[in-house]
Amino acid sequence: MGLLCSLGREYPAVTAALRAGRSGIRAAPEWARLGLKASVCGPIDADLKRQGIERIAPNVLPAMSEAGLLCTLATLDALDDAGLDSQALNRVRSACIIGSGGVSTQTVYEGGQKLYGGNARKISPYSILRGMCSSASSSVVCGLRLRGRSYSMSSACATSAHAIGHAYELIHSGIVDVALAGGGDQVNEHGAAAFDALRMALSTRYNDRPEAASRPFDAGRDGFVLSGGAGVVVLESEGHMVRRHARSRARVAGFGANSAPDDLVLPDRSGEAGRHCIEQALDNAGLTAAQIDAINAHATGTVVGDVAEVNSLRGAFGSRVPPVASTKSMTGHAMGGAGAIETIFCVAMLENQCLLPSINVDSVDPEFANLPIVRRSEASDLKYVLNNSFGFGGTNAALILQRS
Amino acid sequence: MNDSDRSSIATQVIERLSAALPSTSKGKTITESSLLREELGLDSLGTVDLVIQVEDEFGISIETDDLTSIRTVGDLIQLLERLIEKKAKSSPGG
Repeated sequence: MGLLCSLGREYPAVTAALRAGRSGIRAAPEWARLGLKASVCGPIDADLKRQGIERIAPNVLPAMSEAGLLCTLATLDALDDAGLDSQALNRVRSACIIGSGGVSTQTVYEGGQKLYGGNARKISPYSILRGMCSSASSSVVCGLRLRGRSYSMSSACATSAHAIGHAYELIHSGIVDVALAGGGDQVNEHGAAAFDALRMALSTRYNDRPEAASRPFDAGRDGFVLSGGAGVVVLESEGHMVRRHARSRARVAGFGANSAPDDLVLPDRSGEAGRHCIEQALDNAGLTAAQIDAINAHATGTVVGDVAEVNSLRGAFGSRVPPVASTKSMTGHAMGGAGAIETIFCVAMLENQCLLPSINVDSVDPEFANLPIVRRSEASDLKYVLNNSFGFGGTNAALILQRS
Repeated sequence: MNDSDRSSIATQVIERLSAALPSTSKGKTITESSLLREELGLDSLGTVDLVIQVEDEFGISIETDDLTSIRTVGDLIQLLERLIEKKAKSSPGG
């Protein structure tokens, strides 16, 4: 596994930060100067983006979008963690399913400035590579010289959860032996401006208290907090793992995916679509709802989104909803990277046999009064953990992770 | 164009090229016979990026057809010499 998020890049250190309930959200005063109402975000430390960069093919670096770079660095960490490298992947049937929720707005902006400024001939030849929808997967395969199948999947904030689910299905059906799966997105003022334009998406009331801004399930929540980041996991078949005497950190037990076409951004309060997605994952895993021990919710901290997801949980789990938290309360919302990053957090829960908390639940929303929201990390016997990822445009994914 | 002008163009191209080379080729000796791709590790996009930089520096425009003929550092320098001379002849008073 490999990840870059607002809490860091090293899995043990990030896990410790999560267990301690630390926030990676910081002030973004430059956004306020641009006139955006939201001016907090979860940035990726610049030093973290330089570590290991010398291991990437140098001619590919200028062709990488920021998200592509984040995904490539996360892939390097994931390969190291798995004890694999490019050569090992190129000897077997492999896949690279890594994507982004959005394209590189920076690239589009810079190209547009030159085009409309009368300098069309000065547009960088790298614009296409940086700006294309498959920049994430192309960055990884060209940057690390991989030769297996590769493509990007994109489904907004469910992108990397779908990538993991698809990779799991490729392995499960015997098409590949090993797969790199995940995704990532950058955080910058262009994306912030686009989300800001929705008027109801981003948190704007806690700009003076950044660490308090991401507050899923709290009565005072007012939107999500953008953060950048990437997460990549190495999935492999049982046979491949046994042949190379490797040890798995966790297993993917089940995957569900469906759509909610009723509204482009506001989920139906009933949570029916989310419920069906979770039930699909349970069915795929051959589990009953009672066997799920904990949930890392999608819960971003929007007023309606959290209600819809809780109703999904109530629909799927009845009166016995397992302990639930949203790690976005600490990291912010890494958009296309969120599904994979939060899958890695689920693995951290399974490996450490502990629940991770939701922070900033100072006054729980009365609608969630009877929900077992985890507010402090605590030891727990965990075998199966559910990870939900829902995206704008009505796209849902649910993954069930199993202790090894 | 005199020998001094030619020398100046060659120097500027090599300076630009040194900065544009991928890290694996840094420090390599660059001569007019150096192959951009095979010896200096400049790939297709790296070559176009270099061309955009020299277009900007010398105020000329390189046609797409000419791009494909550039294999060595010397090819690029000779192309620039021709284009700069052509520009000088076509400009008023040139």
